[in-house]
Amino acid sequence: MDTTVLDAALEGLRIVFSWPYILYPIAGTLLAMVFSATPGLNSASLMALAIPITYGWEPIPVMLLFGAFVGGATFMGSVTAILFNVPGKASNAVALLDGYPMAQQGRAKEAIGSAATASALGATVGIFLLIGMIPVMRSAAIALGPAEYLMIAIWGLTMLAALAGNSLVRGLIAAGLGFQLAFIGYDPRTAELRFTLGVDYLADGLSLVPVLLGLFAIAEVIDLLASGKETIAGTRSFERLQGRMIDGVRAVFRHFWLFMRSSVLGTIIGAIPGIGGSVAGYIAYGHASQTAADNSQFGKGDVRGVIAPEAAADAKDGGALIPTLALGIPGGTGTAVLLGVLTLHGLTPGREMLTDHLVLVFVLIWSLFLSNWMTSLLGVSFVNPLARLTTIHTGRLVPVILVVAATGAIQYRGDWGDLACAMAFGVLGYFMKRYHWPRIPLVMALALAPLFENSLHLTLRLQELGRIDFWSRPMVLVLLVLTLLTVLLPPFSKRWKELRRHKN
Amino acid sequence: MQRIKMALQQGAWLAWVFAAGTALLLWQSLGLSPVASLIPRFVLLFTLLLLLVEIALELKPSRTPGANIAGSRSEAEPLPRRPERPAMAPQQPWRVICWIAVLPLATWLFGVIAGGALFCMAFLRWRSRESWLYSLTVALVLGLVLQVLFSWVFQAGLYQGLWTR
Repeated sequence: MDTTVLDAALEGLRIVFSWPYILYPIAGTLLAMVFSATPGLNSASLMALAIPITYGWEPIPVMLLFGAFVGGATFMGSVTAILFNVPGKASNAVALLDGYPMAQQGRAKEAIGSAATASALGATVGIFLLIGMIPVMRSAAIALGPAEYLMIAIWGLTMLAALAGNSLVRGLIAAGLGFQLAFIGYDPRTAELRFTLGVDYLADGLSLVPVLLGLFAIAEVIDLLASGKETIAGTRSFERLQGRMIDGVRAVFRHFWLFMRSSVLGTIIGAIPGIGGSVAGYIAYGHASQTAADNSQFGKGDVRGVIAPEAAADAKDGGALIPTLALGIPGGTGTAVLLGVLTLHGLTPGREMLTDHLVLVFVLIWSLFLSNWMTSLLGVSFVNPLARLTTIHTGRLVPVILVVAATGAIQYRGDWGDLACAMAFGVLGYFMKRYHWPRIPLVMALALAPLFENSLHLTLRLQELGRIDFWSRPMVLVLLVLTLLTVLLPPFSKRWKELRRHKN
Repeated sequence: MQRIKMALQQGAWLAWVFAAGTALLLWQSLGLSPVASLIPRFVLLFTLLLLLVEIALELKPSRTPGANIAGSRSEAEPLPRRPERPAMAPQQPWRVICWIAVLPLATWLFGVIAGGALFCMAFLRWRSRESWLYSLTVALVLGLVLQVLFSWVFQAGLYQGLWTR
């Protein structure tokens, strides 16, 4: 490694752990944890709120605080997803697929333990990959154009097959419905209103947060009440909860290569500007399901279904900083606000940032690192009180969950229509769950559809004008091979193993 | 006819609702320009085709509900429960939905904090049959926490209801 980079890394580390600078990441982490546990709130909102407060600060405390905001904002959303089926934000939705069934089986401690470990270690992998990529960041980021984004969207959509489980037809239908919902609102090219049915609220399109809260949190509440279930865990006795936190920690090491692949996937996806963090978790989950020798337990409380998306979701934070710092192109909403903060404090992303202000870059990176570990350690420390929440009688728990979810839905845009939307999707989500229709493909398609549609139109137009040749772009071919491998490898691999077993 | 009745009871009506919605959107897409409707029409037609396949499959007598679907009901056996407190009696989903619909109504009228607290109190007292003291305490604490978090800590204004503006 270049000596300058190493010196800057060590100097940044020294600053983060020195007094009184250490107070900033601690405060930032605690605030980020509260925010991320509240549905509808995210690190972008927190950063936006903190901008006027930090306006006159020196750069170092700003980097420490905002690094902690980015790092501390993912894990707690997964905790609420695991315990109550209430995702903090879109990227936490995947954790509930297996995390919540684990909580229902009384294995909440194991789920939280595995999520905390995967989260902290995944963030570590993401950060070290980020540090390693600093010398090559610029050229990597500018190699991406509409054609590459189109292939990324298609690659993400191939995961739908894994998320649909045994009912591929229903999975594809759910994805189609997700696309339909994404088309509602103004067409980005012609500004025509599409599929609003004359309803003004739909002119801005459907927001992902109310849809998520409805499909999962509210739907689950309806299911809990309709089924007459006593508690989420099925028992009022905390002592009768199965699973230990340490089992969850050990599970991450038992599935170490899955964890590593998910972390690398998360970092790469986080590094792609404009994709958004939610996709990383879905793709990692789909990959885990497709590559598992026995994936029959996915969706029913398989710990791998928690490890993979958690590792990816936290690794993406490091990845998202790559285009932000190298090119000034935000990787997601949070990094978009971070970019604004950097600019406000006279720091220009790009060559200057990576040469003259490299120490500040590492202050940001180490603060992110510290924050991730703090949230995971705090989560693990409080695993017993958190797990105990699953033994509270549903009659007492449900109104609180509903009010918190409703607050999250309505607070996102301050529009009562979002609450009504969440309720409507809650009813839809309940019936989808009751009659065994998958919901994750719908959410994934809703998240990916804008990227897919815009990239397809741009690619076709550029191809038409002769500006690009789709098939001669190296990254496109790499992504195409990756997509084909994702689709073809799992069935071939299973068939090969069956043949070998039959031979033996 | 018998087969249709059975299929409806097993939830086939959901596919029909999806198909009707997709057909409606497809009809709506006829009024859009070619650029705006290119991809939506393709997706809508593909989805409608799949829905027709699904409806046909559901009408087959040997159809069993989908299994191993990510995000569907967990099939784990619940742990045996101690009879400390009887479980809440299962209820018809529509009754549950009517109860839950009180929350957006209360929010629309009284705002997030007051509406949420009122809903919480009403739910705990009349649905969960908790005592007045418990219901009022939880509702007040919840309202206070929301007020402190959003209005004071986050400085984020919450939706003001019709009657509290």
